[in-house]
Amino acid sequence: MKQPARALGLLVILSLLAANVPQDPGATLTVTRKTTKLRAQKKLFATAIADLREGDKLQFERREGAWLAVQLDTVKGWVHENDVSTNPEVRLSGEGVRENYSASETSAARKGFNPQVEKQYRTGNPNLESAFLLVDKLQARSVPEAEVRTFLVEGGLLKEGQ
Amino acid sequence: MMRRHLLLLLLVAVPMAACAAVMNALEDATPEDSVAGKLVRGTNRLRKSFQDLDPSEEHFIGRSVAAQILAMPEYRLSDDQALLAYVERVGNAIAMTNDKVRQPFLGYRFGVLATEEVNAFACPGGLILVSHGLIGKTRSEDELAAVLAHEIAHVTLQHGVAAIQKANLAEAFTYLGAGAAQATMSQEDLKNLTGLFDASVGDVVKTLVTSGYSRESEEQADKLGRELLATTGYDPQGLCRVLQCMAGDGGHGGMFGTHPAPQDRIASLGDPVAFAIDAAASRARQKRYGAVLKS
Repeated sequence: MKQPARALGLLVILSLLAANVPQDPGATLTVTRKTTKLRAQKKLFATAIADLREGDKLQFERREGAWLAVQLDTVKGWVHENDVSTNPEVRLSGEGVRENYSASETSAARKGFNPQVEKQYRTGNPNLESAFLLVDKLQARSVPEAEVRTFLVEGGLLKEGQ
Repeated sequence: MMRRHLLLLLLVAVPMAACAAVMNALEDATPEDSVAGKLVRGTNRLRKSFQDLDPSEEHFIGRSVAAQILAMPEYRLSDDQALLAYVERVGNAIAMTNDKVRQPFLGYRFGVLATEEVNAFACPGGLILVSHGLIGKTRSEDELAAVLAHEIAHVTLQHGVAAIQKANLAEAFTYLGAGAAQATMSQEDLKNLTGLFDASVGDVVKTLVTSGYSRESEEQADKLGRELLATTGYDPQGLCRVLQCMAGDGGHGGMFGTHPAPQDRIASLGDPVAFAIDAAASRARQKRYGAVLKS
């Protein structure tokens, strides 16, 4: 029984490794970041052609390095491999999910470390409440991409129009 | 007998499968309530290590880790908004120009701690807390970038969640594997899961604040951090200069207690990486660094 057990173990490992590497054109990918961009070219700072939200479904076309050519409805573009999952059961926070998606469509309610667990954790640790408010405050801050680009250009780290 | 055949069939098919697509096809082809169906579905859903945590789960762990740290009296947030805005821009400059950077659920967020202790914490999910004391060891934007690149490298390499004890994670995954797709959690489920979440957060906080990452993890973060600096266009030697400053000034507590000695980190980085200095660009960066951090 040892050999089949090993084979099964190997399969489990291989299937887990393969789980986030799109293989087949047409495969469905799920956006796992709260928000990100569908870009016209396969590079950071490339023109954004669509806003992507957590739970959005994309059709995979091909891969070039860390970038994936994908289609969102009728719009084609590029997304970074870090921004999506091939796992149809990926756990989502529900925080970035579009309003017209149901929880079951986006698997936002799937069991995992999610907002419900954090709420319960906070209830059990009321001494952390003011610290959580500070975390909220820091996480609410974001630097717009255009500002980062200007910062890079002004510091000689990026050429104008690059 | 039927059950045995199904199991044997599965065990023969399994080595041939070796990819998620085949496993998904097997899932489609087997009834959900059959033995084979349950085995295939179980295999597909099994999560083994910290690398299998989904980005949103890492985000929630990181939030609680950060809250634990910010609740400590020695780690109050600085109210220097100009410094925070500058740190945010330098950090995002690195994160947004490197394909190798792992982009967390929310993106990178930064906080400055109002302590002279030399320290920084890379919370899972990309919230990076850096102390005023550590920023004080830098003399230029490139050196500040080096500090932040090292922390971004820790997040990219998932060193924070890797600190969760295997037993805690295994228990959580075993528990989550059962009925994972169900839409709601019972009170008992929630209680058990919160207990595992609590233990996982505790493991990360202990590593970040008390014991530190392994020497190997620090070396990995130094090397990746230097690579990230070079890709963005910052001087990759910035990290060595900060470490030299730390070595020269000496100190105790904070990073001095949780990290390998600065001299050892410099030695581990090896030969300098070639860098062509653009004098005009360096001056522009030094000017804005000086405007925020009067040196």
